[in-house]
Amino acid sequence: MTLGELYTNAPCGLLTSTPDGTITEANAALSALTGLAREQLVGAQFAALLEPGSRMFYETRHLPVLRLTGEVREVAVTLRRADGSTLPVLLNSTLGDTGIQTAVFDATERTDYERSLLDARRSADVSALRLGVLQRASAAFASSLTEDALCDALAASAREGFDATYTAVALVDDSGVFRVVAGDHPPIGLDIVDSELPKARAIRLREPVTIASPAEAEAEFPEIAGALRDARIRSVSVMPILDGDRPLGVVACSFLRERDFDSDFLELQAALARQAAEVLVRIRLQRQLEVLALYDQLTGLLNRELMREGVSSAISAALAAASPISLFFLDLDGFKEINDQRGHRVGDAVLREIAGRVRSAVRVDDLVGRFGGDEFVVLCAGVGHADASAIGEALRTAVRAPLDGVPAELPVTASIGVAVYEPALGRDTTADDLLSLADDAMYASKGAGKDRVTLVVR
Amino acid sequence: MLDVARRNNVRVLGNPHGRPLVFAHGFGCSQEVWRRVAPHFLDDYLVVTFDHVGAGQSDLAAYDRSKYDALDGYASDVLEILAELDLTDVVFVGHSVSSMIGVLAANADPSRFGALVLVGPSPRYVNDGDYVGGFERADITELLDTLDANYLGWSAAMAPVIMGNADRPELGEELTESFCRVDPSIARHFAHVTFLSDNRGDLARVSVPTLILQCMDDVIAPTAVGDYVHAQIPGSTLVTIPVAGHIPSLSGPEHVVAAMREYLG
Repeated sequence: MTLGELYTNAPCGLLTSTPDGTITEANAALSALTGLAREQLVGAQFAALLEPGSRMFYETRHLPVLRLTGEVREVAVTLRRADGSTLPVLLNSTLGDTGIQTAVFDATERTDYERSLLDARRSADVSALRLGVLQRASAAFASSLTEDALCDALAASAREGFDATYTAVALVDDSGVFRVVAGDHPPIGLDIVDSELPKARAIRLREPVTIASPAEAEAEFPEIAGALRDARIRSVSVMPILDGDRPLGVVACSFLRERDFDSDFLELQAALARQAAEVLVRIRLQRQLEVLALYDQLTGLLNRELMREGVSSAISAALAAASPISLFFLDLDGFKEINDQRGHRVGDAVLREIAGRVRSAVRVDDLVGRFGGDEFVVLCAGVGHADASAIGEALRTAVRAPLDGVPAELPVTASIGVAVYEPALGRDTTADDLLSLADDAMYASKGAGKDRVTLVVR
Repeated sequence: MLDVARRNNVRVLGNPHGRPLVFAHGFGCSQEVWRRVAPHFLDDYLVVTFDHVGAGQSDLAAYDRSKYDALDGYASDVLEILAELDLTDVVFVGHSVSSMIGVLAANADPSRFGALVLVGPSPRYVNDGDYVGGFERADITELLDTLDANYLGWSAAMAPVIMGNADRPELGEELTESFCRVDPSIARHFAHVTFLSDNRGDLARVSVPTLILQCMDDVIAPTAVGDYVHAQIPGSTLVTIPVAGHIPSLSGPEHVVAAMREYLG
């Protein structure tokens, strides 16, 4: 058999082309594969026989590698046949003195098999990617102790999950004002719920709001289209963070190119928002519990524990500054009678009213606590015994003023004990010591006829 | 400090006193794609070649998917390279997608640039209304399929090897390897960013002298697209070179060199 016969009868498609890719020779098997006669093949561009996507790969990858290395093996591309059908093939090419020699193998059977493997692998890759993002997000969210830390973690997860150029997390407060807590989002700054901007719309609709292209931005959100253009942002996806139906905020992702906001994308963004919402609700609940534990629930004043800590720190500060402090212990006179005769509801109202009066009678920075029952404690830093008497009188007067809804025959007054600590006198003291001193002074007031102030100096 | 030179595998050759000539490669390639063009300019130009992050011998660890989700990320790298080398009056030669990267960089900081040479530019590959980019969206999906088919290993089994005498490879083993080495996920992402970007709006803002080199029979960047780029960039020069295909730096380097010399004087 001659070389020519070998070429013609080879079991695979063979072709010779110029370095530019123009076919100069083709065998019968190539005609069979392509459905094109030899005369149609010769003179044609080999690349023109390929499907467009394959042709892009061929031009941008196969040819450069061939030119630089002289050989390319087993490149998978798709031929477009004369009847319009397609055929997966493998190409081997070498670059020689006579131009490019290419062998073309029918890869249909392998392709069918490997195609399903590829699809399975791709789908597994996508799932693994999403799962990885969600798992890392979940771990980062769980270790977030504050709202800010959680929002940082959410912004980082969204950036990782979508390769977003900008991600931002904004939380909305009760009055509908957005606060950007984490991330960076230049064009869509703070805005409010009743506007028609994407964040607000996402909050109002409880659904994601997307801007797929600059044209959509012009049509749907003309107020921000210019700002998006200036920031080179071409697409945006804003997902609400919801606790049930209650909007907590949004997570926004922006891109410098147009992205497909398909169901995969939006599901992942929603899943991140959902996970973050759960943790956010937990963090807020935790914070409320902490507040509850430290403050008196009826009056909102400091509780015994927090008050004791406050006195402790005030003593240290007084020592350091060589400045006096005054501790006032108030025990109400006549309160038990109101409680007994008018019931707890009226009693509670009286306690709240008295708490407000005591709070208002001293400076904003002074500490005011309720020690349980009808006992109140006030700590004033920088106040020596001269001023303490005046403040004690002011407290006494504030408490004894008539109370709404309480008859005059049930008067409420305060027996007040004041302990003044003067570091200049050179004595040490502790919170318990000072509290017990003020308590004793209070009993002295009570024993002397109530509604009066007794002052002792440590 | 940012090690730009290592990150982008920057190479500086030629005449230290010459005008800076910076070559940028396109999708699917590395700086080796300029190996038949760049040497012609060594006598009178300061020649800079580099690999985009993700390609060739760049630092793959620097591949930040958020940064490189748009061509702007690559353009900021170009500006960093120019700043690192402190170059001005730069002639930036961008092939394929690097044409648009050059346009973005020159628009962001025109002070560094003296001229742009755009080889086979296309501001948008996908047809859009009256605009003919040459491809449909489905074609891009097929390209991604093809990338996966070739990089995820399902074609890497044995087809009979074709007989024939290959030209002696021009590149050393190491360079061949780096040129052919591809991280599949980066290739996929870069393909998305390259072929689904739309930079038509950036062309009219180009303020530096621009030469467009258009190949004959280039399906990736067809003549109509070259004409569009020419019409959009104010004062640009369009030269069609008698080379088929999309990689004239390899298939017709002498024409690229001649057209550049003619333009740059």
